[in-house]
Amino acid sequence: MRFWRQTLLIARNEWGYALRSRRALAVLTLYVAVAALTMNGLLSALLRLERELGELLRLSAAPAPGSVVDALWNSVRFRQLVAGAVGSESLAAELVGVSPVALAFAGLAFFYTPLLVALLAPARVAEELGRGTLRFIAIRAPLLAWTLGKFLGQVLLIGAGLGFSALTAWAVAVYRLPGADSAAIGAGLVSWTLRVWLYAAAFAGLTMGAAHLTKSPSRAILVAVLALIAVAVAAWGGGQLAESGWQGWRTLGPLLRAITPQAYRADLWRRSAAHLAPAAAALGSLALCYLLAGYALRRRRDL
Amino acid sequence: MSDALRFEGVVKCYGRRRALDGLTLQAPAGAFAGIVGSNGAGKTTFLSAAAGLLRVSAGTIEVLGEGPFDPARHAGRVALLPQDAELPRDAAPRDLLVFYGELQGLDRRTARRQADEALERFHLTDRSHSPLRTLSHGLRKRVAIAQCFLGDPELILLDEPMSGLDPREMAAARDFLAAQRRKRTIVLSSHNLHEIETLCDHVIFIERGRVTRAGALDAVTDRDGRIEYTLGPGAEPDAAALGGGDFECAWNSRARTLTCRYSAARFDAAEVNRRLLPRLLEAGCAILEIRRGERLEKRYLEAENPQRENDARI
Repeated sequence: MRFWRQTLLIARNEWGYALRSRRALAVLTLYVAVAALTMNGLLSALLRLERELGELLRLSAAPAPGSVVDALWNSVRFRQLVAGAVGSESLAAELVGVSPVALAFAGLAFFYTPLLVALLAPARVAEELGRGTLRFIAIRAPLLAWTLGKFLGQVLLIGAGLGFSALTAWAVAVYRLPGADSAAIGAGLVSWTLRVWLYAAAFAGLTMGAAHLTKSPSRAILVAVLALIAVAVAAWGGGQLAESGWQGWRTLGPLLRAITPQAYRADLWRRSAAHLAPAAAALGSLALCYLLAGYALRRRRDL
Repeated sequence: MSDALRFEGVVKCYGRRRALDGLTLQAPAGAFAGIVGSNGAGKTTFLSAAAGLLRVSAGTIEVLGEGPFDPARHAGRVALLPQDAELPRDAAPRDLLVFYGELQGLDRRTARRQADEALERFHLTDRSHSPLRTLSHGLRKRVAIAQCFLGDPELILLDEPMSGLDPREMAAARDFLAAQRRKRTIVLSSHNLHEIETLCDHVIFIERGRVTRAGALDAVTDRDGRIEYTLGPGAEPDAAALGGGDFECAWNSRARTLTCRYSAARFDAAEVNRRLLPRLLEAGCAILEIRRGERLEKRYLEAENPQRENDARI
């Protein structure tokens, strides 16, 4: 009981630190800027497409921005096209059932959030190790409570960052696409933000676990980026091995892929709980495994 | 008296260097023990090992008689002022002290009350909401000392607590620490031997990761069996006659000091003075200073390197 209280206190302090420090402002600015810029770029491309479609179809009146894309997205023909592309009727139905803006946001967020996590979260671990700040905590609470508390705090911070970025993306979308269904976009963004958050949590575990190995914040970021590259290579390599000719590789490939967050990203695109729940459980477990591996290595060293 | 802290043959290696080389020592419960040693002697390593921050290579450590430090057992009962550790720069002193208090098991209300008391005690109330990065080194040091006294720790480990404090704060901190004597066990590492002599009742000399001498301060400095009189220019005492069979007196004409050794079982310092001072005054000696025991510095230098001390005498 005391352990969990200490863990929550450390998480709360991490959150409080984020609110107090200039770093939090930098984090939120980064998230919001990335969301605003990418969403704006995407919508510019969508609107260009709409204009070209309008010209091609020789529409007499210029449609409200976003309405052509909405109409296209909801058309049966387009759904059949997507089903053909993804090779699954059910997945296609799930994908086109979501606002295209929300889907685009998710696509971008799945890409940039792990990078932002790697740039921000591991430094907080290494910083406290390097400056000796941890010693004031280690005399009061177990190292594991610190590790879990920092992780929890950072995951909440990532959640807040993603929330703000979704809000920014929504505001940009509503401003640029007055014809689009803003409520549907909002609901879609909330849903995808939660999925990206789950995905990002696994990367927070990975990068923060790796950060336990160094006392230098800059080196922690480097190690975290290398860890991101390593899991990306493992996910890709695992897929390749699974399709190779040798039985041994075919067994090893899926195993290698299973220990990477990328293996569960496809399930996050689905809307059914049958896909989402196991993916969420796997990502949560992966996050803890990565984190605890880092903790176990640090525990053997001096603080 | 049981031991609050006990090290038995503790070894800590950094690569090939042995920072602690079979360190064996005890700090009795309720003692105010001063750790003295040269740079790199192993003082900080000793305190860090006691607080469970280091993985030792060999030996046993007993903290409060319950095995090596374990936050599950000792959180809130052991406090530490680490030497080079930085407090979080963006935290405000009050928030930080409340957080540390809660972390070691105090409820929020008590943690807040104790944080406010600590801030007042260390004259930090007016800066209690300023981020630590805006505070001077000395003010941050005061916050670091204040966090040691949250709750009711039984054992406090202080690594160079006075470094960085201004003279006024140093005196205030010294008074505060002196008031803690016998309320809890305090182990203090310092290069300032005067500070150790003023505050501590036990002293431990560490060199090259080993204890070279340890014991009660009175015993180490021979305070209960030795008085030294420093005399001004002029008349010199007849040392042999002064003792009169009760004491053993020796005159050092170069240092102009008269050293009187006596049996603590038969006399106390007041009695020795009552008998000797009139004789010295009658002999026309100008008494400049009277000192019980030997200086800690001299004892330390003797313990550190007896040969060098002998050479220095020659």
